[in-house]
Order: sequence, then C-alpha cells, then structure tokens
Amino acid sequence: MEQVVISKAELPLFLDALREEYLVFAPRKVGAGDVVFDRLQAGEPIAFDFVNTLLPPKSLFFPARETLFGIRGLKRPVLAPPPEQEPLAIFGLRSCDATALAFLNRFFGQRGFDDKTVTARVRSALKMTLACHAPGPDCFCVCCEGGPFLASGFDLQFTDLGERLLVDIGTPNGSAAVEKAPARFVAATAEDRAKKRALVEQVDRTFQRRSYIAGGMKSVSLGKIPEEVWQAWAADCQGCGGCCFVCPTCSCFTVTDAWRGEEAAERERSWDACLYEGFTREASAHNPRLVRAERLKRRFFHKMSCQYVEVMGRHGCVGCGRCVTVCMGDLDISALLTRIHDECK
Amino acid sequence: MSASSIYQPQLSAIARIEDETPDTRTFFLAADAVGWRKDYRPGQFVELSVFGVGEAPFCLAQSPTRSDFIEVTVRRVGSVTNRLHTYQPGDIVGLRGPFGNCFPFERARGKNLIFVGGGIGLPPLRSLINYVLDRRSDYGSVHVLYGARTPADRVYKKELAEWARSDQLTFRETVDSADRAWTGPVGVVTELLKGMKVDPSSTIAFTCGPPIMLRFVVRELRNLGLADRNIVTTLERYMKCGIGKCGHCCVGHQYVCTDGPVYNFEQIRCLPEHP
Repeated sequence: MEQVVISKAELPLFLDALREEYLVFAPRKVGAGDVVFDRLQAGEPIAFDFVNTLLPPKSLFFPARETLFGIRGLKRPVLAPPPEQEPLAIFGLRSCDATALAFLNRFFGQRGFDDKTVTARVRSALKMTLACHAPGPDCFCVCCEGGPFLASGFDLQFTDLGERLLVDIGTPNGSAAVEKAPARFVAATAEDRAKKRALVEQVDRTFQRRSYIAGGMKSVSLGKIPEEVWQAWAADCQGCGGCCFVCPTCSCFTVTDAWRGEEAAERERSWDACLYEGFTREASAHNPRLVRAERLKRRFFHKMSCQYVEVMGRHGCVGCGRCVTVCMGDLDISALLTRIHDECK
Repeated sequence: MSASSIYQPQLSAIARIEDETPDTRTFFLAADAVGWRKDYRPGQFVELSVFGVGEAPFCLAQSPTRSDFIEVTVRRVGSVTNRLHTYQPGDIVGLRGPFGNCFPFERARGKNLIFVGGGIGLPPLRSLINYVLDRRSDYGSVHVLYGARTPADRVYKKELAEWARSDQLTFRETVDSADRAWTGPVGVVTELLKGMKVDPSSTIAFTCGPPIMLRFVVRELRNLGLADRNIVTTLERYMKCGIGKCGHCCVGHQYVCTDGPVYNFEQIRCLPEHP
C-alpha cells in the first residue's frame, strides 16, 4: 500500500480544497465539549483528541429522519423525489465506524434490492479514517475486526505521528484526492513507517477489555442461553432503544407519512429500534415479540449469530463501545458475550 | 432515476370495488401503469400506499392467469386499511412490488393438493387455487376447505358457489357459528380434514389463516401422514419496506419479505424463534 505523509499544518489546505467536489465533514468540538461530525467550514479547527463521537457518522449516510418523496394531492397524488445530495468527504472516521459503513453498504445493497438512498452516499463518499491511538474504556474493536488500524475499507487512512500524519492510500479515489491536492504530500520515510508499526503494537496493548466474542456468538447462534438469563437481562433493559440509535451498524427503520397541510404529505423514513414493543405489532394487535426478553434476544441474535454472519460476511458488532456507554441498565454486550461463553456451554 | 425510487410507488387507479363481508373489500387496481400486470407468481405480495396515511403489504389475491387488474382483498383493521375503505373507484393508490417468494407450484406439479383457508386467509390461497384450475391437467386431485366465523364473513361468495358446483375440484366449507339461512356444516375447519383419505407421498397442503387455526390444521395434516415439508403456509409479519431493509419482518435470520412469505413447516420448525 502506498504511504505518504502530510504535516498537520497543511491538513486544512487539503480539506478546504476537497470542498470543491464534496461536502466535507470532520470531528469538531461543539457545545459542552462533545465531539460530533460537523460540516467543516474554512479555517475551523478539527478535533484530534477524542475517543469516539457520541453518535456514529452513520446519520450522514442514513439520517435519523429523511424524506423519501413528497406527495401533493392525496387521492390524486403527484410524487416528487427529494433533491440529489452532493457527495460527502469525511475526515476523521474511526476505524470501527468505517468498518460499520462498509457493513451498512453491503446490507442496503443486498437481496436484489440496491437501496441507493444509502449505498449511493456510501459509495460516492471519500472516506478518510483516523486510526485510534487511545482506545476508551468501552472500546473493543480489537476483538471485532473493527480496528484500531484498518487494512482496507478506507480511501485514506491517517495515522497521527505528532506533527505529521502518515497516510495509507487505500483506493484510486484516495489516490486521486492526494494527487489533486494543493497541499504537500511527501513519500513516507522508513522512519515514518517504523513509527506507525510501533504505534500499532503499542495501541493494541492499551485496550482495557478483551471480549471473547466468538465464544458468545456460538451460544447465541445455537440458542444455548437459558430463558432465565434473558429474563434477568430484560429486567435491566429499559427498552429505550438507545443502543440501537448509537450503533453504527443498526439499520432498522420505520416509514410514516407526515402531513404537510390538508392535501400534501411527505413519506419519511426514520430510525426504529427492535427493542420497542411496537416494532413487531401487527394491525390485528398480534405481537410475535410481546415481551422484552424476546426483543433483547432478537437484538443479540441479529448482532451476534453465525446465521447472520452467513448473510453479512461478518457479525454485526464493530466494537465501538457506544451501546456500552449509553446503556442505563449497564447491559454491556462485550461483557455479556464473554460471560455467556463461560456460563452457557 | 432518483436514489429513493426504490421506495417510490407506481400510481394505480382503483377501477372497481367489491364488498366481500361487512369489513372486507376487494379492490381491483388498474395495472397498465404498473408494468408487471401478470408478471408475478401466486404467493407474492405488494406494498400498497394510501397517501397521507402510509403503506402496508397485501397478498396478491388473484392468479396472474386471470383478471386484467391487480386484486387485493383488504379487511378494515388498521389506519391504512380504514382509510382505504373510504376510497372510491377513480381514487389513486401507490403500488410497489411484486415482492417475496411464491408458492412452490412447480414442485406441486402432478401432486394432489389440499387447500385449507380460514377467514381472510383465503385470498393468498385463491391466487394459487385459480392458477391450478387454469393449469388443471398439471395437477392431481384438488381439495379446497374453507372455514369462516359466520356465513357473513365468507369472502368471494360467488366464487365459492362456483367452486361448489365445479367438477374440477372438491370444495367444502364450514362456519364457526351459523345463521338461519346456513345449511352447511358448523364447526372449525379442521373437522373437514378429519377422516380424509390422502396419499401422503403425493400430497401437498397449503394453508393460511389465524395462528390458532394454523396450529390445529398442521396437527391434523400431520395426523393424515403429511410430512412438514409438504405443509406450506404464508407468514404474516408487520412489514415496512418489502425489500429486506427495514428489519421489522425478521424471524431469526429470515426476512419474511424477501426470503418468504411462503414457507413450509419444516423450514418454520428450524427457525430460531417461533413466527
């Protein structure tokens, strides 16, 4: 893989120039200090010192709510698609989130129905990842093939070497962006490469969790977890759906018609959560997943069963740790999977 | 083509509406603008939009070998169906589809067929029944058994009368509770199965109806010697997209909208959760 280097001081010049072709987003510190992916305007500072953004960047590709088409006249309708979106360039994607984007792209493109509302955005985006130096207490990407450094799944992978950034060029798209850049990219030296290698080894040792994901997956796939265990976990689960919304691979949605005056409406797609009671409730009021334990089981099965690996090529967790962070019932998927392996043989 | 066209339905005008029961109507939808008029298979479904309220899945109720319309039979239950029942001929709905797999009508060739329908579960079976009747020589004997709550709840009353007269199939029906005019049998539909003489090795059964009915029908069909793989049903799930994305209809790793909705009971038995 070709490797180049850019000084941190020149990075804004590079990102600014991308704005001619792309809507550029980067992690920025906002409000009380939260780091979020925000539209980058000229000269604005980029955040480098963050573990993970509170929300994954999936909302840039699969918004929490969006209009699928407009409707004028309800019984004699005229439908209007929304305007096309400019391609995105995202700097500072974490490895786990880039892995999740590839997962979403595969999911929305499969089954003979290519949902371009998502896939066209992912495919046209310039994905610039920022490898992780300092995993947080909830991070376990290292156990999920989700990071902290990637071998593929990015256009450009940046590694922070202090004053300089080492850049792995992953695709022709990434290569073109580097070539066109007014900023100065130079070939990486042997010393730069050695620094990165040392970093990869060092970061690997700083993870505070090691989860036995494969062991837990086996129990989930074979249905070896007793009902009492699900019920105990369900007692802690508040059914808030927070884990689904912060998850970079969760993709369930609902579709509703929102009224815009008497004779007009918009068909909207918005995020939904399998932990909600209404998620499977039919018009007849019949609900195949009436109790919370069933819904929790469902979520684990979807994320962590071998049956889904067969469909998706990998399991549905990239180890970003966000669901662990937000759960008010302390349901910690990485700890639970490890425990499942120990207790549910 | 816009990125969202996969969710944007084709428009279709209601050509005709027929009352089936006090709460159920069949809508005949103009197929000319839809582009797939007869190009679907029995067992498939459509996503039907009632604009301003939403979209819901409905089985295609007629065989592709018949009718110049797309037919859906709809009971008034939720918000979409309640609004649809206020629609008149000329009003326009949206259609996406056809979606899903289909009844194994190829595998059923040469076999004896038993159809067991309950109430509003008859429409999906009807698409296959009429398909089979139009290719009658491809199949062995055909039994159609239908159960409704009351005589007023029977759908396709004219067609049921034709089936009863026809020498192409054996049609028998029952109601849970009769009115004065009813002269047929009274009882649950499984009673009609009891004592039937079937050759299990050359028989396939298709059944659709409320979950409680299905349970007893399957038990009775097993008693007659049918293997689970020869007992076929079509699953109902809450569904939004119809194309394997929204996640609502999943049972285990199966997406009922794209992997189903038609399953045999061997497949259903192997699912990690009960549908």
